[in-house]
Amino acid sequence: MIAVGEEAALTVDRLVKRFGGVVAVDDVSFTLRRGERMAVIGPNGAGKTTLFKLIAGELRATSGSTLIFGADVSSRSDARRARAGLSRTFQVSNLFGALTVADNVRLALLARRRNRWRPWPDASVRRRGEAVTQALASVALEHRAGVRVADLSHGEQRQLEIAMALLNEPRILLLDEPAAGLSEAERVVLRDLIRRLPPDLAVLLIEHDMSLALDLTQKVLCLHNGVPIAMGAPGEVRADPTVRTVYLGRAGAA
Amino acid sequence: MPERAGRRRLLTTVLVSSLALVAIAAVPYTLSTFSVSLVTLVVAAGLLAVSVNMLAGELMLVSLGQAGIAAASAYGVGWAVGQGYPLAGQLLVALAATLVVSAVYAGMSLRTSGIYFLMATLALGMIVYGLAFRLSTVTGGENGLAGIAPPAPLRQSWQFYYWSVAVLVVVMVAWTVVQRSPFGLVLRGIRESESRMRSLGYNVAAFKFAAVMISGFVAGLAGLLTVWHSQFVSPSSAGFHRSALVVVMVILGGAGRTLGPVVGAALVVWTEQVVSTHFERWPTALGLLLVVVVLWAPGGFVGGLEAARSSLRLPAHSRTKG
Repeated sequence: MIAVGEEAALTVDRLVKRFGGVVAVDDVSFTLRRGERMAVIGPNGAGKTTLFKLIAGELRATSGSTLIFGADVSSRSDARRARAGLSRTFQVSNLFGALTVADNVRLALLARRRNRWRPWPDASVRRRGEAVTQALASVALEHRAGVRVADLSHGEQRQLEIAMALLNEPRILLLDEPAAGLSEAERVVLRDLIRRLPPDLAVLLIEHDMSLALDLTQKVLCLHNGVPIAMGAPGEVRADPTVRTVYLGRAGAA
Repeated sequence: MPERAGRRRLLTTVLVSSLALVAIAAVPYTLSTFSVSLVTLVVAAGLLAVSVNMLAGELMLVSLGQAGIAAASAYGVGWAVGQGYPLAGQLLVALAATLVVSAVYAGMSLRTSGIYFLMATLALGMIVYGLAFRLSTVTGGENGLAGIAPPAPLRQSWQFYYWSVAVLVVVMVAWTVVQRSPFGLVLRGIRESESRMRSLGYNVAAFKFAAVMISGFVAGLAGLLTVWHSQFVSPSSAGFHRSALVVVMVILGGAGRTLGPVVGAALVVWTEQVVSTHFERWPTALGLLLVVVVLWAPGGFVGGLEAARSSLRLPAHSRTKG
């Protein structure tokens, strides 16, 4: 079992996002501790991805603040939040499609290194390199290193997404519907992959698939029309009557 | 088997490049002075096309105002010559003018991409053109600046030819090295997805700025070669016509291909200078050629040759682009 630390990794305080008259995220607050795994669930259009974009810095919140390990990052760009230790994957795989798997991994590796500015070839790009092989091995893709990413299967692309997000040496990992569109077999691989993540990494997971979300996390936040309607241990949220009405009742098999 | 194929490829490479070297070296010995001057013009135009191709290939940013940067460098030299500066002073003024104008282009690249970068650079090129007309105390207005001779050891046409080729080759080799570097990989990452690069923590703006500055520096070198070649600069050197022809060179030769811009420059300059003496409507000929290439060889001449070669070797599926 993963030991949840006391230290707050990510604090979201009264975040609000309005698009014109629509309130996409309405007064959401929570704290994610070091090593904690938390899920955000809710039906389509509940504001889950908008919440992620606010946390990652791709969108600016209308009001409220985001703290990474106690530092207020509300006015910082997405790149600066990434450098502060926040890493994310995308709902629709957002990889460098025309580049090879190895080059994708190299870009993730170079992001935190000074030699990313180097205008001549060095070991980081010339050979396969231990770090690249290791990263690919961790998601069982080492045999695909030379393949163009656009030619990978959907499941392999998701695996590569996670490998790249981890190479950033994040302290907080945001996973946006990692299981979306995966086959049952690919889901099993992914579930194992998430279980084997470093124990002191704080993980926030958006998931449409209830069973996966409840299985992998210690805390669940349920959103409906941007409003938080329940937060607590997976069992409590599953039993919550409001959640059952807006979400589980419709989804049927939970 | 693979070792033998590798050795054969090495042999082909050595053979082709030594033939090319002999051909390049032989130009002043075998051709007339006029033809040598024409080939030099191809080299200078090719260098400007290379500078456009750098951004087009690695960042998918097409500059439709690159002649504006080259003209800034040319006017810099011309003005410094008029002031009686020594060679070092002339080069410094040209460099300063190039970097200042490039910085404006680079700043524009941070706010735009794709078609918007194209339009923004088109506008910037027109501004340089307008300034060349208006600032007549510095630029000589409509008359331009004349008498801009290259330094003494480069005055003979064969000397200037070898010097231009050397500059072009050094730039192309250097850029090939950069393409294989971490910096080059980062640029291709930005080309594929800027947002993804940002979420990985890259300072995308800084990389784009640097890339446009490097491309601008090369455009400045091209401006220097061009002005030393014709010993004259006028507003038309910054005009839209000039910038558009450079983009035509890149497309004809093959965008994103190392040799593409030079091949394209040869085609365009040859049409402009040779075909035009027999056929008044040479722009029509060039336009038709462009349409044919865009429709039947989207990779340009170099891309078309590559495709033809790989379809000869591997009749089935695997066609790769270089």
